Amino acid sequence: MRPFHYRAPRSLDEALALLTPQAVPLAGGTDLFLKMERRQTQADTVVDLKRIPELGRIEAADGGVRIGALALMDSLGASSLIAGQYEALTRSARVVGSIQTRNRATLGGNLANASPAADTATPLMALGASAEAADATGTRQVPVDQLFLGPGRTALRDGELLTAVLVPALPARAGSAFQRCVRTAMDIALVNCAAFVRLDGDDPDTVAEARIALGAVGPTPLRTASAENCLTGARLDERVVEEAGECAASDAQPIDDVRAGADYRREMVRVLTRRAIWKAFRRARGEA
Amino acid sequence: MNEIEIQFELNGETRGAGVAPELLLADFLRRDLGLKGTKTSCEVEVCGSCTVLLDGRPVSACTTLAHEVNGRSLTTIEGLGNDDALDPVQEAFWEEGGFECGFCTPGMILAARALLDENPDPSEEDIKAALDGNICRCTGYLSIIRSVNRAAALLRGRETPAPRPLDERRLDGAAKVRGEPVYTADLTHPGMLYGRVLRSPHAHARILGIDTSAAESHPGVVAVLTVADLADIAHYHGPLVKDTPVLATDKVRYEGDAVAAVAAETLEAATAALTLIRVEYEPLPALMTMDEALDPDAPPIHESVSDDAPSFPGYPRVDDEAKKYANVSFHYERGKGDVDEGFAASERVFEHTFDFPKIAHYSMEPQLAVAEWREDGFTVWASTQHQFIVRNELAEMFGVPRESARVVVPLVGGTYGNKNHTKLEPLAVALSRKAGRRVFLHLSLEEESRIVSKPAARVRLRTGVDRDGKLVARDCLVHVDGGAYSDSGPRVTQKAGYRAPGPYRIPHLRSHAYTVYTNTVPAGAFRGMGTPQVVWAYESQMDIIAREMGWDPVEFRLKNLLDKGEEFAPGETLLDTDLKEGLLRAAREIGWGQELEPDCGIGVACGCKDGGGNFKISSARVEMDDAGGITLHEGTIEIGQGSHTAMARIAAQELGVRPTAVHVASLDTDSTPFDMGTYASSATTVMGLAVQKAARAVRDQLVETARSMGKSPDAAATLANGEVRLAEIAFPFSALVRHVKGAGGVITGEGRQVSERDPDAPLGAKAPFWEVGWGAAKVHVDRDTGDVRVLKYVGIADAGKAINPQQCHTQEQGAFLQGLGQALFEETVYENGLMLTPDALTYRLPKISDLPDEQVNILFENGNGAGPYGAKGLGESGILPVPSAIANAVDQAVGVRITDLPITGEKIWRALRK
Ligand SMILES: Cc1cc2nc3c(=O)[nH]c(=O)nc-3n(C[C@H](O)[C@H](O)[C@H](O)COP(=O)(O)OP(=O)(O)OC[C@H]3O[C@@H](n4cnc5c(N)ncnc54)[C@H](O)[C@@H]3O)c2cc1C
Ligand code: FES
Ligand code: FES
Repeated sequence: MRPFHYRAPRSLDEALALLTPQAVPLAGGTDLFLKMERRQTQADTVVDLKRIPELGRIEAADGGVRIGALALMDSLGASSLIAGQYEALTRSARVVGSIQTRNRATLGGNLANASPAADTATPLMALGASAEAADATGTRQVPVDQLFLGPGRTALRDGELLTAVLVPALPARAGSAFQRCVRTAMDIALVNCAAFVRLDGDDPDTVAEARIALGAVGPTPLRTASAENCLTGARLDERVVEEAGECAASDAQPIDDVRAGADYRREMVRVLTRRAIWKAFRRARGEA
Repeated sequence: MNEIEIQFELNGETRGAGVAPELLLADFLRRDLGLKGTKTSCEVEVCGSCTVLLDGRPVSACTTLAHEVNGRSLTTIEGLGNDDALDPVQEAFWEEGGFECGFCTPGMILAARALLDENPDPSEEDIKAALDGNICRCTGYLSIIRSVNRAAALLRGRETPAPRPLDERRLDGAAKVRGEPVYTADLTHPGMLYGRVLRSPHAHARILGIDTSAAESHPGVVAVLTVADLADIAHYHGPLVKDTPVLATDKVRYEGDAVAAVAAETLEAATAALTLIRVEYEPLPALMTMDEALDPDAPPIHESVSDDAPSFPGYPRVDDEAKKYANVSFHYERGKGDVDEGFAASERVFEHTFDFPKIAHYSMEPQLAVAEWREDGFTVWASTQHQFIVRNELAEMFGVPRESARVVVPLVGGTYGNKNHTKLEPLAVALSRKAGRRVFLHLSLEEESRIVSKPAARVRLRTGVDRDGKLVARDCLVHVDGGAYSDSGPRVTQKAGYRAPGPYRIPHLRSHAYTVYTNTVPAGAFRGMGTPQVVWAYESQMDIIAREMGWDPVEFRLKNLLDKGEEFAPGETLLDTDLKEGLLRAAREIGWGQELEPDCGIGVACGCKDGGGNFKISSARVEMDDAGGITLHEGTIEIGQGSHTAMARIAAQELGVRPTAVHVASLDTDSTPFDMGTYASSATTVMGLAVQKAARAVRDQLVETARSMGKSPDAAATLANGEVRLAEIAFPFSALVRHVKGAGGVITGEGRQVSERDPDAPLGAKAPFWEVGWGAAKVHVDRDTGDVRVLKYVGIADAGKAINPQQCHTQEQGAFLQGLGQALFEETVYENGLMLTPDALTYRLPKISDLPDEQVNILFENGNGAGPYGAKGLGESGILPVPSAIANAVDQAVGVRITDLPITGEKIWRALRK
C-alpha cells in the first residue's frame, strides 16, 4: 500500500484535533484500504479511531440503545441489547461480508462510507435512528435518513466524526425486518429493504406507523414515503401490502449495471418490501 | 515515514518489531518474519486464505495493518500444534482429506479453529456460516465440513473417531495442514529481485513508443524489460500456434497484454516503477465478441501468424475454411452419413443455440515463476502443469541446450488448466537475464484473470428425430472465443467439435468448430477441455426435444445412448462404460418420477470425453537403496489432485510395502524422467502404468536375486514387509540390493507408457479411456426473484478402480462445485473493452454456503479402466453434467428454458414475465 502517516489518538478530542484536511479517519479499514489501493483518496495521514475506548461501546440509553461508531459488525450482530428488539439491524449486521469482515468492519464505517448498498443504513432509517456527529465545537445529531447525500458523500462536515448511532426505544406493538437480494452468498446487496411497523393499540391489524427504507436502488439509501403512507392507518392485508410494494418500487431509482438490470432491481424492491412488511408485521404482533 | 513500535504475542511468544504504518499484516508475516503459512491470494479480503486469529478471532491479514496487532495476541497456522503433534483441527483435516492443493488450508483451519473455540458442537449451518469467508476452489467443501465435524469430535473428546492410519491418508497432508512453504509462491531467496508486469489498459492499440527512463532511475529498480531486449530470442511461444509474444511487439491485443516488466529490490519498488513507464498508444477498434470478430469486414487481430507453426496431427491448422475469416485461427470438422438426408428423413428437426460465458480459473495460488539466468543456462521454479514442455520451449526460445535449462516444480497451489504449457516463464527468464539476478515474477490474482480464461463458446445444434424417439441426424456448429492469443484454444476447439454430438447413436452427423480471435483475455484449457461447453448444449437440447415431443427425458436418452463397447467415432477406443447404468442410477437417486413440491423440478444429464490425452508419454523410475529405501521419481505434478499419494500407492502395492514407505521425489527436470505433463485426467492411467512397470522392474530384480541366493530358481515369491519370501526363507530388500549392487548400491526400475499415434484414430491417437459423468439435480425456483436453490445433487463418476477413494470423491465434489458456479454465477464480463470482473470482489466464486442442501456422490468401480488394477482417470467428469442438469430441472420447475449461462435469478424472472 502507499505509505501514509499514522496516528492513533486515545481520546475523541485528540482525534478531532488530528483531523486536518489531509487526514482521513480509519475504523476497520475494510472500505478505506480498498479506496487507498485504488487511489480514491488523497489523504496522507490516517487517524485510527480504534484506540478510543468509548467509541466501541454498545449501551442502553434513553430506553433505546446507543451504539458507538466503532462497534464491530460482529458485536452488533451478537448484541443482546439489539437482538430481539431491533431485528432488522441484527439481521443486517449478520450479513455484512464474512466473519473476517465482521470482525473488523464497524457500524460507523458502514455509514460514513455512504455506499447506497450499505446494509445497516436501511434498518437504522426504518428504526428512526440518529447519527451523533462531533467536531471540535461540539456534537449534534443527524437523523440517519438525512445523513446520506450521494454515493460516498455524507452530511458530516470537514473535521467532523461520526461518534455513535442512537436508536430510539422500540414502542409497544412494533417490529422490524430486513431483506436483501444477492447473487451469491457474501455478495453486496443488489437491493435491500428494511421495514418498521407499529400497530394500533386497539386494532392489531391496523398499522399506526410505518417506515420503509430501500438500499442499492438510488444514489443513497432512501425512505419510500408513498409506501409508508399507503400502510399508515391501513388494515394490513394482501392487497395493501401489494400496493405498498408497488409504491416502493415506483419510489426506487435503480440503475442498470453488470450485476442486474434496473427493471429487475425495481421488481425486487416490490418483492422485498412485501416480504419485509409481512415479517415486521408478524414481529409486531409477537408472532415471530 | 515513521516506523511504529509494536509489541504483541505471536503464537504464544512475546515479540516486538518496528513496522511502517502501511505495512500489511500478511506482508509482515510472510516477508519480514518468514512465516509463509499465511497464504495470500485475492488480497481484497474475500478469499480468506490469509486468515489469522487476532485475539482468537479470524481476520484477513491481507487487509489488516501489521501494527494493528499491537498489544494483542496473534495466532498463525505455525502456532497450531507443535513439532510432535498436530492440532486436532489439523489432524482432522488431514484424516478427512479436507484439502487438495492446500493453498486455502491454513486459513480454513484457523477459521475452523476459531469456530470450535466458540462453539464446540457446531451444526452444519454453523460451519457454513463460519467458513463462508474462506474460499476453496478445489475441494467442493464437503470434505472440509467432514473435517470440521471430526475436529469437533476430537476436541470434545467424547466418542473420538478411530484415527485414520497414515497409510490411508494423503502423503502431502502433514505439510499442507501445517502451512509449510511448499509452493512457488513461498520461494523467496536472499538477494532475489521482485518482478512485475506492466499491462495494457487498452483492448486493442498500436504501441507508438515506450519511455522507461523514469522507471529505470526509480530507487531500487534493477532492470526494465521491453520488447527491444528480446531481439535475440525467439520471441513467440504457444502450445499449438506460436502467436503469443513474451511482450507485446507492435500492438496490444487485449486489456492486460504484457507490455513491459520491471525487476527491483522490493515488490513495492517494482510496483511503483510500473507507474513510471510511459507508453504511447494509438487505440484501434476492439473486437470484443465473436460476432464482431467474424464480421466479414472485421480487421484481423493478428495481421500474420506463420502458417507453418506446429499443428496437431491429423488436422491442418489453417485450412481453407479457416482462411475465409480474418479472425479464425483454427477450424475442425468431422462427420458421417449425410446430414441433409437425415434431416429430410426426420419427423421433426430442432434447432437451438446455447451460450457458455468466459470463465476465470481462479486458482488460489496465482501464476508465478521464479527464474535465475546464468552464463551457462537457467533455472526456473514455476507453478505449472507442464515442466518438460515448458523447459523445451524455453530452451528453444533462448537458444540454450535443453540440458542447461532446468525447471523445478514445487507443489502447485491449484490449477484447473490455467497453468498448462508456457505462460509467464519466458518473461521471468528474460527479466532475470537482463537483471543478472534471480527474479521472482509476482502476479496478483487480478492479473491472473488476464493470463488465461476458459473460453466462451456458442454451440448451435440442429437435431432430427424420428417418430419413435430415435436421433436421426445432428449438425453441430461450435464457435470458441479464443481471445487474443491461441494458447490451447485450438485444442479446446478440436475437442469441443469432436465431442459435440454427445454419447449418442446418430446415423448422420456433422460437426464444425472454429476458434475465433477476439480482443479479450486468451482462452485455453479448463477442466473438461471444451466438453462442458458442448455438454451444456446437447444435454439441454435433449430435454427440450423430449419435452416438445412429450417423451420422458430419461427414456429418450436411454433409447439413444451408445452401448458399452460401441463406437463413438470410427477408429476411436470403444466406449468402456455403461452409460445407461449411470443414467438410471442418477435418475433413481434423485427420485425421478416422484411427485414434486410446487416450483421444484428435477433434471438429469450425462456427458463424456475421450480421456487421458492423446499422445501422452510418461516415464517413471523406482530406486531401491541398500537399506531397502524406496524413492519414486515421476513427473506428475501434485496440483492437489493427490497424484503423489496415488503413485506411491501403486508402487507400494507392487513392492508389498506401505504407501508411506515410498518417497516421492521432488520434481526437477534435471532428475525426473520425462513426462508430457499433468492434464486430461491422465496421470492415474498413463503415469500409473509407468509407475507400475517401474516398480515391477524392481520387484523382478529382487525376486530374481532372491531365487539365485536361495538357489531355488522356480520358487514362488511374495513381497511383503520389506522382504521377498520364497517358501520358508525371507530375504530383506536391503540384503538383496547389497547382494547385487554392493554396499551403497541402488536397484533401479524404469517404466514407460506411451499412448501411440494412430493414423486411423480420429484425433491422431486412440483415447486411453472414456471419462464419463452423470448428474441429477433437484431445484427450487423462487418465482418472485427467480432465484434457484439446488436442493439436491447426485453426481456419479466412473473410477474404474479407485486407488484413493477419499480423493476420488473430493475431485468429483470439487468438479461439481465449479460446475455449480458456472451454472449459476460465474461469468467474465467486459464493457467498452475492459474487464469488469477481474477480482474476487466482482467475480462471483462459489462459497461454502452455496452448496446444495444434500449431495450424493457415487463412484462406479467396475475395473474397466486401462490403468493399473482397472483404474481410470476422473476429476473432469464431475463438472460436465452440472449446468444442463440444473437448467433441465429449472425448466421442469417453472417452465423456463435458459440457454445462456449463468442461470441467474434475473434471467428466470425475465423469462417468467414473458
Ligand atoms: C469482502 C467484503 C465484503 C463486504 N460486504 C459488505 C456487505 O455485505 N454489506 C455492506 O454493507 N458492506 C460490505 N462491505 C463493506 C464494508 O465492510 C462495510 O461498509 C464496513 O462496515 C465499513 O466499516 P469499516 O470500519 O471497515 O470502515 P473503514 O473502511 O475504516 O471506513 C470507511 C469510510 O468511512 C470513514 N469513517 C470510518 N469511520 C468513521 C467515523 N467514525 N467518522 C467519520 N468517518 C468515518 C473512513 O474514513 C472511510 O472513508 C464489505 C467489504 C468487504 C471488503
Ligand atoms: S482474503 Fe486475504 S488474500 Fe484473500
Ligand atoms: S485446496 Fe482449497 S483451494 Fe485448493
